[in-house]
Amino acid sequence: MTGGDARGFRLSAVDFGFISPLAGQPAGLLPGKLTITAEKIGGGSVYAELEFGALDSSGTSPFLHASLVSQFGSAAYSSVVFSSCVYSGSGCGQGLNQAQFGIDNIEVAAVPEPQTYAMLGLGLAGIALAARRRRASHNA
Amino acid sequence: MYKSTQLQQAPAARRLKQLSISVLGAMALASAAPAMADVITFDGQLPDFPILSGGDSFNSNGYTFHVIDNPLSVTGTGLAGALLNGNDPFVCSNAACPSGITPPTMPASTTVPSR
Repeated sequence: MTGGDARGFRLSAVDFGFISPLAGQPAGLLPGKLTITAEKIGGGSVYAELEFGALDSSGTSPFLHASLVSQFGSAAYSSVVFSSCVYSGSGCGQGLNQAQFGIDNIEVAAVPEPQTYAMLGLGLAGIALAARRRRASHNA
Repeated sequence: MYKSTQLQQAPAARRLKQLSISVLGAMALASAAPAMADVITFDGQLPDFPILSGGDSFNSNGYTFHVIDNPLSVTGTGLAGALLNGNDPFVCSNAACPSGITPPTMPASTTVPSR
């Protein structure tokens, strides 16, 4: 996943779930993890793992909503890779067509243009000016 | 008389001016932050992009999604996923799709041998 411009984007949340390759798997089974690797604008990367929800009585993994703010913070990213791993005897690995997942409702925020900050500053300055004048008129 | 009227109108005019400045400031604040946040729902993607193979790409909410078939071989072109309508009860007849949110969802699979 890549953003639309060179300023990048922030990543704050995602809904995710495991897709079991076979229905009817035992309830309570923890299948594996969603892995997220994000490349920072300017270099470096951030990696995070999210535990898939345990399978329910029908063998289905629930969609979970995960906030990513603590892992990915307010840094700007150029790309994000979603992948997954499944548990085996040797830990969490990428099994043969087993590590399937679904994602939805990815919450992102484009890094604003400098003009946007200027607009924001102008707005704050306007509010501050109005408050100052109000105080001055009350004191007069 | 004129002076008195002017004095009486002055506070009202000042309040209006202050209100205008405040409104402008609030508008600037309101237009800045919310316009940047976005939630990528994949809504409206289903008719055009039902099945995804490695190397495919599509756009949603101004972001580009590149489909990777195999994390260890990003040039793979095999079947990798699909954009599914989670409201369809038969969409995952032989598998078990996640449940609990509204559709559509974007499943993808990894096909790397176990390490």
